[in-house]
Amino acid sequence: MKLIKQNDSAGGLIFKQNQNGKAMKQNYNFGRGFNSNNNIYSEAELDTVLDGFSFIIFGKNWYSSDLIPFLVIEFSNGTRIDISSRGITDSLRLKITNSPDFPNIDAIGLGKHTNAIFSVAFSNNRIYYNGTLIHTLTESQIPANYFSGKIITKIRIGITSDATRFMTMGESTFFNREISQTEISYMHNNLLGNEPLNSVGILSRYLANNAAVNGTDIVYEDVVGTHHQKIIGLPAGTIQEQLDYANSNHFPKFI
Amino acid sequence: MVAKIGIIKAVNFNPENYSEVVRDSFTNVIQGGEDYKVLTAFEHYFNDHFDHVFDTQEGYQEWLEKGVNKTITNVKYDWNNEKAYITIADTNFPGPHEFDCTTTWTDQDCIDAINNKFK
Repeated sequence: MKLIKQNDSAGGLIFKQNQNGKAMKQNYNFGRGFNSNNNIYSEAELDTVLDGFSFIIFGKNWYSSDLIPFLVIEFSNGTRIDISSRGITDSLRLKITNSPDFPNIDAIGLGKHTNAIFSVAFSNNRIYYNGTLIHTLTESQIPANYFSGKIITKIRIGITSDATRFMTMGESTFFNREISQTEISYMHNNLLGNEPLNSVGILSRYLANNAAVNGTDIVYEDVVGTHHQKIIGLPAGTIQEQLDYANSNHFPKFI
Repeated sequence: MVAKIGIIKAVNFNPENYSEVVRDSFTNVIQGGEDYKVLTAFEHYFNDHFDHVFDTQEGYQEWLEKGVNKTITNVKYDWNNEKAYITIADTNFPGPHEFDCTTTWTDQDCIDAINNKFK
């Protein structure tokens, strides 16, 4: 197999030639990921009225105890979605809590994970783990299209307490609409990853390849919108010291 | 670049003893019922005006755990998963702390579980 060209019109994707002489796309490059440890995490403030809401994330090495959440999404009416786990080989759990409109939905098991890469997606009140539909919330649990018209206020990535825990978030994409199972399967791509099949309605997309300076903050960028993830808990120092530290310690190669 | 964590009792804290770069970055913590100021910063910002400097977060966490307030404030059970969730009065580690559990625990069972976790 040999590299035959770089296709700029396709976003710089690199194509290879297989044995039959046909061009094929090279494996998706996840690049780096954001590593949360030592109480260093990130969050983005939002104020967006949603048409719908869905997300797909890729994680690795999510190690916690006592159900400290790794991902928290908050809405202005108090509703909160979070994903946590008890240990590195325990089941990931998704919760939807604190809504004024329905009782807490506690601890939906997503599957036991190891230190391998995994993906979680949520759309149309359906929950997918590694590209497979594993749970459908009923209308008695949460109304259909519940997030339409709601205001999303925060996306937090990482562990805010307990310095002995850690996690890495690869890329994560949040949509201002519901996404189809076809889109989830395409991005999941047997855990090899892919660009979004349809970039319409992306609220925020974090590739988490490196830290950057944004005003007085150290962030990693929302590559579609403007909701950059501010890195919180970095050691005190000059902005340049914090930038160098973040890039040296918190953006490991994802694969 | 190496980061460290320093603590000083709040009653002895004077911001002018520290670099302007970091003096506003101290946070408050209670350990063993006493108020402390805490700074996480790059090592060259540390001087003699600390009670103790930890090289790692783990070391700092061990120090915090030595002063945990173990007073139990709430106990909940999840019988589907056979878990007990115990909340304590400590400001740093309130929980809920999860334990494996097959029957309702006595008060002493809960105390023993927390004592075992925070030795």
